[in-house]
Amino acid sequence: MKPTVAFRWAALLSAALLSGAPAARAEPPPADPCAVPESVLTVDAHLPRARDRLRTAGALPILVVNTAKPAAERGEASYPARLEKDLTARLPGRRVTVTVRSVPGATAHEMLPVLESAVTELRPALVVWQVGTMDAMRNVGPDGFGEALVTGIAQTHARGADILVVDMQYSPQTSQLMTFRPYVEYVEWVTQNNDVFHFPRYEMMRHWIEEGRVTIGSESKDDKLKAFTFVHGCVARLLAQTIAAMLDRAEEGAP
Amino acid sequence: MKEDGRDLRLDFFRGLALWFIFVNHIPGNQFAWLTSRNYGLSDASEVFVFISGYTSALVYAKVYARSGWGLAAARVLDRCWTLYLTYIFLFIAFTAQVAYTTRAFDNPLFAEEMGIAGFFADPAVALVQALLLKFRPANLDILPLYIVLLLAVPLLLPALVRRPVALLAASGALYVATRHLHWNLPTYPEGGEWLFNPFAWQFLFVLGGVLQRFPGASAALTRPRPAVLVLAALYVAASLVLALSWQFATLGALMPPRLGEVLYPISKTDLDPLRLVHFLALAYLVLQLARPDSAWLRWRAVAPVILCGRQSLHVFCLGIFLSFAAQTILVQVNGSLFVQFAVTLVGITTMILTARVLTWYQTAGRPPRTAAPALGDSGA
Repeated sequence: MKPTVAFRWAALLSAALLSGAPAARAEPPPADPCAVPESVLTVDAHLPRARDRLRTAGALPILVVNTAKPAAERGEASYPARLEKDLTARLPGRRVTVTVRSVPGATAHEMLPVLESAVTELRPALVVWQVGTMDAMRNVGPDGFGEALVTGIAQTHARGADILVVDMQYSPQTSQLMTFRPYVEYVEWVTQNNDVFHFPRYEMMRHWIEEGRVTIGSESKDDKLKAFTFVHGCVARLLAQTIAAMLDRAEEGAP
Repeated sequence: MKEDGRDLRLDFFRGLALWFIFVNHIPGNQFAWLTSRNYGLSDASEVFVFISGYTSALVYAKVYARSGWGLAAARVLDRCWTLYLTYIFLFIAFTAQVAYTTRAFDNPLFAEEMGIAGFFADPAVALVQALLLKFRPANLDILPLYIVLLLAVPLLLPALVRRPVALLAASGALYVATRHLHWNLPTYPEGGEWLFNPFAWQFLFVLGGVLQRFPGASAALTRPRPAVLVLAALYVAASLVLALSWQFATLGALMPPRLGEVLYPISKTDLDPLRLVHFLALAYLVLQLARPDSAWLRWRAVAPVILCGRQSLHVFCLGIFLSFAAQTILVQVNGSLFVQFAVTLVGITTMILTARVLTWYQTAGRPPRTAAPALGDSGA
């Protein structure tokens, strides 16, 4: 469930051992600043319903359900808007649309009715469900959180749409005040049991921050905006990349 | 300090649990790999709650028998009051650290998604809720559980002394009912629940207390029996594999998915029976090596652990504060492996020194004999 911990432990140990060695080879910066290792992100699910819709209708309507309320001036930089652009570029000739339904301040359980009505009304092929932040902030019982996840996934599948789950954001500061771990683990566990893709935003952001690719906690307004643009841009890019990969995977050898 | 026929194992394992709780509460501290939580289903919380139940029975049943219910109840309430003051003090210390840390929330990246408005916007409400133990920052969870369990001791004492078996049965029934009916106490903001559900965790506390009342039966229960030894060892080994499979992806991939569907979630909040059984099996195995007269309990090397276990209340509270301070250093200043090692070492040294000073203070200027049961024992 927490593969990265072991890797980091090993990495730390070897780093500690190597640091004494002369002329340790400096890692070249990765070409893609968004890139995360496979231990963080692996594509392990299919999108059979979305693939069918894409094949029959040539369109991929996506619905993002989240708790965010971006200020108007940042709308373009937020990941749903970027996702639409990135995915359109990856699926030439297909119509990709991203619609957002935001339920600010809602727990997983409180999001369920909105999720249900939006899926009924908009008939998306794929739902991106960003969930868990409020549950962690409000210390909602993790078991109840897990049950709400199962319900949300089942009701979306029942209406003929695929769903993937995006977990919480990470920063050392926010994680110091809120206990995200059990909720991230629940997302991993429930998605695995339901063959649904878990987009590990928490571990990704942790990777970016620990690698120094993005800095959180600076006072300057410019730095804050830079962090926002970087995180949302990378989330959108990797989300587009994995969705495209899952659609390909389904075409190759789905049952 | 004189031994006074006191069971050193209680102090040793409680002290060890306190060290583990301190180390485990520093996220990102690789030295948490040295603690029991990574190698089995249960962790230091179980040890701490069980031993607290055991020693509460030891101390307060004696007062009850000697001076009646009134004084025993007053002693417990006095202890709770101290704990409560400690909680409030810790909360205020936290608020200062939190105020520093929350600057990160003032970033559109987090603010927009978390709807920060409600969190610290109304300090008055947050403060009142904190006084009611309903609003608890991360990592400050086990203290309210401890206070609530201690508050129940005066009510439990008569039954614990006169009808321990009936009390254990009632406690077990409450545990089972809680797990089936999902009872828990609320937290603030609305919708939250206590991370350590007192209705579930009381069972371990009462179990410790009841076993203390039956020293003969407890000794018989922990006597080495080959069949039980094998069963306990198998269970602990299976838990070890399971716990390691969460940490190492290669091992996790080998676990049959069906297994997860049957076993998970292993709830800490509601003290999952798998955790409870793991604790009991582990305790059974460990007690084979730790006999009341085991020579290693008197080694100089374990004396600091025993010292901390003897001053459990203060060391526990100090540990919570120290782990948050250590975490702040790792987050805000430097999180390297060396600093992780340094804050762990400094924290444990501080705990030992504090325990040493407290022990000195409590025994200084007293005739050695009178210091024995009620004062020398931290009682919880």
